[in-house]
Amino acid sequence: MEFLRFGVVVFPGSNCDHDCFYVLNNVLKQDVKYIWHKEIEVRDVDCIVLPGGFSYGDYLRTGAIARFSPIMQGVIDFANKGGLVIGICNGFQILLEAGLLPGAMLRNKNVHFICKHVHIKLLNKNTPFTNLYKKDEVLKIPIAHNEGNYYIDEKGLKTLKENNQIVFQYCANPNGAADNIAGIINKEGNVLGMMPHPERSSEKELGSQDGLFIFKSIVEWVK
Amino acid sequence: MITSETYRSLGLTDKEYQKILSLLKREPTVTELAMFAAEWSEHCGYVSSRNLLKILPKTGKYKTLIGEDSGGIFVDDIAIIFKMESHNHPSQVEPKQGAATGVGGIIRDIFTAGARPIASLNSLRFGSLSEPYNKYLLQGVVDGIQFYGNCLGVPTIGGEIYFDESYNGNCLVNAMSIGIAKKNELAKACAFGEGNSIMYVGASTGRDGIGGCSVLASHEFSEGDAKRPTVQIGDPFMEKCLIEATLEILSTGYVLGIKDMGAAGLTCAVSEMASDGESGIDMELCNIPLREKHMEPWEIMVSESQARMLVCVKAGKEKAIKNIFSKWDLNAVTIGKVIKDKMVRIWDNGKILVEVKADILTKAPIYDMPYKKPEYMKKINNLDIDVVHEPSDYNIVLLNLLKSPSIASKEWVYEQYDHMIQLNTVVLPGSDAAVIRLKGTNKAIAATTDCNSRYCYLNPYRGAQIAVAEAARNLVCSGAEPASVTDCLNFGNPKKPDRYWQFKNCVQGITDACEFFDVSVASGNVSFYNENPAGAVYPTPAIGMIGIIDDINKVCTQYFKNEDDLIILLGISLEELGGSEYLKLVHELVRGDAPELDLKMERAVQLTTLEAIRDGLVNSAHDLSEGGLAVGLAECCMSNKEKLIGAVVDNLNFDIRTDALLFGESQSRIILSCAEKSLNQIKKIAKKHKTSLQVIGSTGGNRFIVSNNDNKLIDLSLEKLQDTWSNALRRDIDSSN
Amino acid sequence: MLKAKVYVNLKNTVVDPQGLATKNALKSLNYEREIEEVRVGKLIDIRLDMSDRKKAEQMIDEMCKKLLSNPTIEDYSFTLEEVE
Repeated sequence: MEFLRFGVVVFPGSNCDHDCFYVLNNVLKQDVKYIWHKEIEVRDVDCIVLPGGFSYGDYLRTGAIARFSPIMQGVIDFANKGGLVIGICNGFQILLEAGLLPGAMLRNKNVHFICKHVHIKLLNKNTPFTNLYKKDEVLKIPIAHNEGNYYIDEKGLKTLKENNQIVFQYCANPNGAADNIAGIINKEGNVLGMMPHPERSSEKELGSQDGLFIFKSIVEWVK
Repeated sequence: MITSETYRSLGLTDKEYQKILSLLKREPTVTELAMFAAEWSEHCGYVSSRNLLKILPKTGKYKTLIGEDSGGIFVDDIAIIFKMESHNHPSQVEPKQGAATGVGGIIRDIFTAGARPIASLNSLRFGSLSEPYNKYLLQGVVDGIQFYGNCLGVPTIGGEIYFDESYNGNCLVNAMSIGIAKKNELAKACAFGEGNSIMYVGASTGRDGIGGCSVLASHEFSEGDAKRPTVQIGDPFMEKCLIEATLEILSTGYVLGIKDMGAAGLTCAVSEMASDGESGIDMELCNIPLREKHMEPWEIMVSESQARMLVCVKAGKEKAIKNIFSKWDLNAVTIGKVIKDKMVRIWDNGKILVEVKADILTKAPIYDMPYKKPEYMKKINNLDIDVVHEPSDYNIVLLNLLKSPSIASKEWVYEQYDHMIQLNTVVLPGSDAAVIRLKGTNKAIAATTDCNSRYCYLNPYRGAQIAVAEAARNLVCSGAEPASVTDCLNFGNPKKPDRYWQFKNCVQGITDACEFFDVSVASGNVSFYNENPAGAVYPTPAIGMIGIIDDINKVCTQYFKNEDDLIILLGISLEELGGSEYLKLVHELVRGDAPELDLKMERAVQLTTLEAIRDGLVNSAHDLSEGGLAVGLAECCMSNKEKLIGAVVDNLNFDIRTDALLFGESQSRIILSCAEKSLNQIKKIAKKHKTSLQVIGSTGGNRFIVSNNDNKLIDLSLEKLQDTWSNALRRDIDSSN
Repeated sequence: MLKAKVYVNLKNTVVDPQGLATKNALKSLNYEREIEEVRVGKLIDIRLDMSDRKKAEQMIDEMCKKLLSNPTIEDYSFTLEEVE
């Protein structure tokens, strides 16, 4: 296979869709297409990206309305068949609402939107999304969110830990997230949700390339 | 029957009403009257300012485009469209929604020109933070800007915030937006071609902002709470969809003209599209999507509901346009057509309501306003520097300056703005100017907003010149060539001759400085009636300036990069304290004249800096402004949070007072740092441009030390400096909450 | 016509950052002593074009479970009343 086929889902209010497209297409030189949220089936892609943004204005509850977009049944089917799905920021929130990942998002502890570079520590490098990193590597990747305060009950947290599902932890907790969680994966290991934006740290000019290896890892894995 | 009470309450004068009667040769209908009142208001018609604004330069070194609702410049085949606009009074009443809709409005001006918005900036002024209401305003305005901009996905990359008692009761919220388009993708804001359709797209019409246009913006501000019902509510989600749908319809080639329904809503859009297209529009009100029941026709015509636009579409292509809008779940309905005679004709269920020549509506009267030098100037322009005592401890003065909210780090603010989205922000907020790259090219845009209004208060003409010079200096420090300006002119009541004198002199100052630097004024906005019971706010001609960086690898930032670099001061430090933050903060004086400004010297300093950056000789460049040399140097040491670098400044040898040396705000000065081996080449460049250059010290260590003849003036640890500067604003805000 | 008022609140076991911030703000307005706790929730009004109360209750309950609340972090309750 020469190129990987990525599908970036566009919900009304998505606003990192172009950024993800740009990095996958212009930086990583892979095959990318947009998938409109009104489509009902996912076809001809190797990996689905649920991008960041404010799907449906974050109205009612972040990710809650997008979760009922027609495409989400397609995404769920795709994931259940083992397809790779990565949800970034709002995409992570949608995966939580859709039940593809456990837990929920609360407002940031300081009740403000936070946009800044943060450092996150890699806890699990044996995933399709992180296989190119070094063990325990610390990455510099920006966050930009209002609701990144990850919540899960104690039992759920225990399960996450037992199954090695916590993929990234903040080195300094910016938002109040339980157990410093910045990103988790499902039990099966094919659906990743993360609050930091790897597409924003994929080029030298933007101050960090640490995020690029997530996308590169995906390409490596599928190949 | 229209009474004098009716038209007066709409803001029209007796004379203006007589003019309407003679133009129409009959009594206007209520709807027509409301439309005249809206179009002829200060806000839409620029009746007191248009005569003066004519002198602003429309050309400069970059080819300039002056559009109907925005302007821009061309760089190769890219059009960079930008504009700044005020939303002061709405923000004073309801800060979150006021600021949010201000951002929304300016961004609509950008994308209706056919450009994709790629960055926002702002220029904000508040009264003292010791007043709880001002704290509420600051928090609300920042919340509104983040709420709207973040959701839209347009990065807020820079801005400025100042605090002064003069803004008590009348904050200033000026929002600027920048967009880019291919040269041939630009859209016009006019309607033409008989038989083509006029479509209404976007949100439904409600009673938002009814009267906001002529009543809210044209009266001095005192009874805030009573006017709350006219506040507009922003819906960034809707506007995000509108951006995508609009850029999509513009790419079809079926759109002949498009205009945002901003101030005065439908009235302004219909009459100006017709007038600018030298045609007429015939339209029916009953097709307009309404959000509220029983709206009167005049209410529909002047409603300022957000996120609506009027589009002129090629006949027969309405369906294609409609399909794109339904894809985004937005309204798009045909409400009229272009007609040959230059009339605005409006029907309500087949009944004629309005029949007026388009350019009668749009040609608002223009007034020459009387002006007179303000009395206060005589009193305050004299400053006897000898009665100002030198402080005993310069460390304390420096820390107090770094703590003052106008100088303190604005991290608390810009961390709430998504400043990285769209993957272009090469220099993040916190340096002299923000830099965004132009994808697909090797170029970048630098942008800044600037205005020291205390200088403008002391000397309107020179203060405005300094605002332009300093904006250019900020850009140069990032490695950019200053290219073009958008101005947002915030003044008091123009009917008062002393206020108008300030306005006139500021406009002249901007004009002369822009002409000197050969930069155009591509767009702008005027906001009058910024007053509180104590008088007018300081004259605040906010300057938004963009610059071009030809090689993205030659971008510069303000903070020191390495240990053992040399620190260079370009420019001359005079013994002047007038208008300085130091004088205000330490001696509680707002006196004297604004700092001297020699435009030739300013240009020499800028050319030296730019050439040195482009030749790769410089590791950092920072402009000196509020707080002077000491504050500027401290910022160089600590504005990169990840890597603080100390400095030892021990070669000052200036023959002026110590406080003026450390905290005076002499213009045309820039701090550079460089490796020792680059010094000779930088000296050569400085000599070529006849710029004064002095090596004043070197970087390194973990303290910031300034000494004069072995006498330590300042000696502080970087941790202390950083903690004071970067947490001051947060502490101020949290102090009583 | 029936009107439902749906209340959605964070569960008591879940930290409520908005509630905490509001509580601190109220305290600074001199309600220091009286305030014990503040929780911020949502009120959603739904007008139903139907008269069968039982059916309506079932339907609203379903809406709450599906969309209006997130059972991981939120509780809901609602009232139904006749309206014109």
